Order: sequence, then C-alpha cells, then structure tokens
Amino acid sequence: MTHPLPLAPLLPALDAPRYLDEQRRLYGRRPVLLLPGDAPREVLAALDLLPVEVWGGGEEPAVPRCPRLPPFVCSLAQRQLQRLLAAATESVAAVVLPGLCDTQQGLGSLLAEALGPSLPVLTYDPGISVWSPRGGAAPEPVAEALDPFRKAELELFVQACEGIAGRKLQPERLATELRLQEEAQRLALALYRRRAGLVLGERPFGELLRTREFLTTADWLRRLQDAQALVVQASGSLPARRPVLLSGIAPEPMELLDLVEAAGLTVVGDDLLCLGRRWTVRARAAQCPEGRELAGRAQLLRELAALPPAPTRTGGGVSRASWLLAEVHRSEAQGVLVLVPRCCEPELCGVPELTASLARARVPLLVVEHEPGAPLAGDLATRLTAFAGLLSAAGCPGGGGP
Amino acid sequence: MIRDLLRSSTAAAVGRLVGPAWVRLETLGRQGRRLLRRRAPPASSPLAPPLPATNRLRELLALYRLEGRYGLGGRPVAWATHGAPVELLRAQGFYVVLPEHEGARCGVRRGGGTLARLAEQEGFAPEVCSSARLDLGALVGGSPRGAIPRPDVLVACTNGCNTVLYWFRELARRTGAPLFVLETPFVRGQVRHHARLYVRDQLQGLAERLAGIGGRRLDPDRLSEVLHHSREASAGWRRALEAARARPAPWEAADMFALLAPLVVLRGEPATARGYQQLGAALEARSRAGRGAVPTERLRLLWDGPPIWFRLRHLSRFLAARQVALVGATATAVWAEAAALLDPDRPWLSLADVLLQVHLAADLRTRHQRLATLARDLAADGVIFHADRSCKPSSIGQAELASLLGAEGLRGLLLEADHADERGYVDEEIERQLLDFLETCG
Repeated sequence: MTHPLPLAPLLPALDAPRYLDEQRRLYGRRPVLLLPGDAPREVLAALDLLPVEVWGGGEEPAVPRCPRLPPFVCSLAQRQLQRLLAAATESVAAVVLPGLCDTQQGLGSLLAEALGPSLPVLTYDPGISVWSPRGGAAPEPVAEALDPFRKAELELFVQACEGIAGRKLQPERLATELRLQEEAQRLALALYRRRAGLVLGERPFGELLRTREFLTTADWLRRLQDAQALVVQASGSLPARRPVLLSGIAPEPMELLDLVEAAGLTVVGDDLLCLGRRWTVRARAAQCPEGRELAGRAQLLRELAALPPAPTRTGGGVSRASWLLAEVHRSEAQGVLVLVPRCCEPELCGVPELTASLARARVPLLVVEHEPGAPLAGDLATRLTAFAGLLSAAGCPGGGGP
Repeated sequence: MIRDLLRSSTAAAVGRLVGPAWVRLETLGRQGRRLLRRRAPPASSPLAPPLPATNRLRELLALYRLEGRYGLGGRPVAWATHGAPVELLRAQGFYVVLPEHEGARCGVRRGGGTLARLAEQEGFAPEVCSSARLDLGALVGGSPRGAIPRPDVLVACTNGCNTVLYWFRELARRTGAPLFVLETPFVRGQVRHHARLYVRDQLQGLAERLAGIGGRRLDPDRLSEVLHHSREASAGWRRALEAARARPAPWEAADMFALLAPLVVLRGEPATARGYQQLGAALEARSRAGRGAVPTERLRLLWDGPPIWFRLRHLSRFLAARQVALVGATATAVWAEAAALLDPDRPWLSLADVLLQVHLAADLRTRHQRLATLARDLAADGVIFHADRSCKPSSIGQAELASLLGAEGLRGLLLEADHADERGYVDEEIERQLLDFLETCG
C-alpha cells in the first residue's frame, strides 16, 4: 500500500512571509488583505497589488488593545480581527471588506475605526445571490435591480484600488488576470477529478489549493501544474477511501483534514468559501447562456454574478441544495461533509433545509462544528469514522482516494 | 358569491361594530383589574401608573388582531420583516403580519424558550436568532399567541440583519407562499446614491409583483396618502420620545418598547398617527405637571440593543426602585428618524432612504453619533448595552461604543442576555451586574 505523501518533498516548500517579502522587493507588489467573501481580487492583481486572504488560521498574534468581539459571534471573526490589526503594523497597502454576513459587516466597521486613516479600508458589496440555473424560477425584483448596483460597486472599487496602486487599470491586464484565474480554476477542478491518482494526503492537497490565498494567480497556476505532473508520475495500489464533498467556510485548523484522512475519507470536491465556492467556472456554465463573449469589466461582472448559491451570500436553501447535489453527482462523492465554524449563523441556518434535501436524495450528510484556533473536539475522529462506516454500509463502492 | 358577501359583511361587522366594542370592554376590564390591585395591600410599584393615552394605541393593535382573525373579508395577507416597507403593502391593500412582533409578544409572556426548543428539534441551532427560532417553533407547534392569518406573500427586507432572509426562506418553504426579498446594502458613513437607486428599483419591482398577488395595482395617490400618515405617526413618536427630556422623565423605556408596536405594525394608518400625537400631547402634559415615570428619579440611563422582552417590566421596576429611569433606547429612537426622511411627494426614494437608515445596518461611527446625541438630548448618565446573544449586528461593536462613550464621560454596562429566549437567564446574575454598575454611577 502506498501511503499518502506530504506535499513538501514533492513540491518546493512555501514560506508565505518570505513569499510576500519577495513579491514586495522583487516586483513591488504590496499586499492587500482580504476578509472572507467575494471581492474582485482580479482587479487588485491587475494593478500589481497582491491579494492576501485572512481566514483566521495559524497562530494567534498578540495585539495590544485589540477590540473584543462578543463570545457568541463567529469564532473566525475574532482571530481575523487580531490578525488584521497585527498586519496593520506591517507594510500592507489596504484592507478589503467584501459584503458577507452580519458578523463580517460588523467586523469591518470595527476595523475601519481601529485602523483609522493609517490604512485604507476598501469595501465591496457583491449584492445578494439570486442564482438560478438556466430555465429556473422567474427572477425576484431584486434580481432586476442588481446589475446597475453591482456595476456601480465595481466602479467604485476599481477607483479606490487605482488610488492605492497609483495607476489606472489596464483592460488587457484585467483580461490576462481573468484568463489565468479561469485556467487555474479548471486545473484545480481537474486535480479533484484525478484525486484518486494524486499521491497526496488530504492535508497537503488542501494546503496546495489554499496557497491561492496568498500566491499570485500565475504562481498558483504553476503550483497546480506541478502537482498535475505528479499525478502522472505517481503510481501504486491505492487504499479504498470514501469520496466526500467538503462544504462550509474553511478547514481551520488544517488538522481537520488529517482526521478526514485517518477516517478513511477523501475529499473529491469542495464547496468551501475559502476555495470552490468562489470558483465561477462551473456555476457560470450552469447559469449563463452559451456563446456570450464578454471582456474586461463586463466579464468580471458576469463572473461575480455567476458565483454559486451559498448561505454566506444569502443564497436560498433550495438552490444551494440543488447546487450541492449537482456537485455530488459531478464529483462522484458519496456523501457531504459540512464544516461550520462555531456560531456561524449563515451556515447554521442552512443546515435544516440542506439535511432535508440531501436526505430526500439519499445522500449522507455530516455537519461538524469546529472552532479555529481551538483543539479539535475529541469525538470528531469517531464521528468521521462513523460517517465513513455509514458510507460503506450504504453500499457505495470505495476507491475514490489515494 | 354568497360566501364572499357573507365574508365581507362579517368583516364589516367585526371592523366597525363588534371589534371596537369588544376591545373597549377588554380595556375597561383591564382598568378595573388595575384599580382592584391598587386597593390591595402595598405591592406598590416604584413606577408611576401608565398614561390613559397608551390605551388608545393598545386598542388599535387589539382591533387589528381581531380583524386579522375574524374580519379579513378576503383581504390578502403579507408576512413581513419589521423593517420591510409596510407602507407599500398597506397601500396595496394587504393585511400585514410581522412575525417578529408576534415573537416579541410570546417573549413577553415567557413562552420563548418552549417555542425555541421546538425549532431546535427541527434542526435550528441554539445559536440562531431567537426571534427566528420562536417564530419557526410557533409555526411547527402552534402558537400561544393565537391564530394569525396564513400568508399570501412573504416580504423580507435585510435592513435589520441577514438572518431574516434565512428565516423567511424557511417560512416560504413551510407555508408555500412566495417570498420577495428586498436587499439593503450595509451603510458606511453616508448612504451612497447607487444604493438608494438599488433599493428604489427593488421597491418598484415589488409593487408590481404584489399587484399580481393581491389583485390591486398600486395607486400613487394612495401610496402618498399612506406615507403621509406614516410620517405623521413617526413625528408623533418623536414628539413622545422628546418628552423624556424633562426631568423627571414622564415615561421610560419599558413603555417605549411596548408602545412602539403600533408604529412598527400599523404605520400608514390615520388612526395610528392620531394615537401617537395624542400620546405625545399626554406626555407633555404629564411633564408640565412635574410627574415622572420614576417620581424620585436620580439617575438617567439609556438602553442600547433589543429589550429583554420577558423581563422588560421587571428590569424597569428593579431600576426604578433604585431611583433610576431608563429614559431612552436606541432601538426606539431610530423609528423617529423616518419623520424627517419620508416625503409623500418623493415616495420611492424617500421610502428607500428609510429602509437604508435603520440602526442595525449602520457603521460604528454612525451608531456612536446616534448614541452620543441621544445621551446629550436626554441628559443621560450612562448606557446599558444589552449584548444580545441573538442579535449579532447589534452586539458587535458595543464594547467599542462603551469605550468611546466612556472617553466622553458616559458610563456603560455590557449585559449579556437574549431578547426572547428566557432559558439561561438568571435574575440574580443580571441584578448583581446592574447593582455593581449603579454603584459606579454614584
């Protein structure tokens, strides 16, 4: 039996702080911190700024006089707040607050006060999700009003970014960035499809995908291409694993993925806010008419409108469930594993409808509450193992993993 | 046809004859019971008795509920969030039910925990807002608040929070009624013009959809008329709140919260506007007479965040017994702002402005300014911040607000509780924190 290999021996190790430092020194790319949500990061990249996402993982930096959030709000938020305030002392160009959930809005408001004029705080509101597949229900009034709003939001965002970068956005740079993004997303999806042949453990594979949070798109694409080359080289008998679709916000701490692997599960697709929930290639194909060639900002607007339904963008329960079911079939997952950060109201509110919909479709579901920065609950391994057992008992053939 | 005729005659009878008489009888009964209690040995309240003018507003609500139960006469029914454009629904002939308000009534009666548990059994986590859990629990298990008419349409506006959206989607799933969503962007600083246009366009689209459901196209004159009454009601409310500037304040926050309901539910009706004008006048008369809600008022405090519905009166009495009056609340004050924003001659944009400027959807700086202004206007000595476990938008930032106001010499207390779910609430703990705080206030 071949054991899953850690990423380090296969791909050049990445040291995020060093990478950011190099980007600044060699290419003059100053980091812009992004809070979770849907922001047009392509605009930043096209202006030679480096989008760096903040999810609240890793060590908790000590920040003197850090504002405290109430203990009953989303556990990611407090860590993000500390991380962002710690970063404010570093050479960061700006912070971007995308419209997301109530907690993130409040967090943004606190940050704007705490950072004050020392660091620009940009906002971007993607508007509500009115996602529906082709031939879906008639649009609500909000859907008809969305386009001009989104366009105005994007224009204001571009203007603010241009102010920080000190230059105008070049349409060809934006087009290049959008093309790279699409290419990288397609490759990431291809890696998921070839997961069985990719000799990487769950955590290294997750880490590989999540390098998107700080790499330039070109570098992310390069790393994915390197990983793809490994698929071809790797061989050996594969242990039977139960393929699952991973949903939720972010697998924090990443040790969660070690437990997933130890339980005999393998992630063959995701609907995580930090990853696949923001990949537009699949959703766009399902939603938009074919053959419409758009470019530049119009293309970007279409991308943003095509984000799949999710509780974090106030997507409806039914459309989210149907989206997830389509993803389950596409990825050939046997079950769905949802990671919900403690006190994350959007995710928690979606659970009853999701449970009912997946039960009707006879797709097993496990909802796991987790707390970033806290030790994993002792019973989590048992629950994951039991879930893997359930998938086996359901008669689903295994073999989806390395 | 005969059935329709019977239905409309019943509605007319309930609306014009039986209803008012029944409500008046109930009011008389309540007053009688109060008189009897006064004769009983001294369970004397440190709070002054409520004003007779408040009865008129309570009667309006009671009559409205009666109409919903027996006198709809085929009128279409809309369930809406408290921040939804009730004026638009009213102008198009809808009978409006606000589930959140019904939940608050259950909360007052300490029925919240039981209902919330029912929703939890349906898979809703205890961390989800208790208003949503209560309402969904009531839908699942039958409501102690009595029958409310089933909806023909649901309207959710996100100006309070995003939770209402998940909540109303669940209501739509369970009732089968179509749901229309009005999205209001989060406001940082000034409202941006494209955000106003976004909300205006949604309102106009909503009016068209409602016409398809209720069968009545929007009459622009009728909308202007409703907005006029709504503005008058809001102005009456502002007048009533401003009466609390007097020392001692003629009324206090428990009554403010309780008497906010007609404004939230029945704004746009002429009777509501009259009721609030009468209330304002009565309060001014009371303060001219030098009478206060807490006759021996020594300390004046503000309340930030939703009320703790199931201990609303208790907390007021507890404070009043220590000569402390809650003279204002941010959640009640924000409803007076519509008076300056609503303009019947610019119905769509002014309605959009009202929807965008609800307290919860504001940034920290705006909240700070509002609180500081309120404190100055009412000569408050401190603020009790209700860190409501259910209401994240309200709770986030309260610690910072307390710190900002503290730097301006205003004392603050963060009090963690829940507005409607009484489980986990311990009187002694809360009272201990209040006593400690009052000691620091001197």
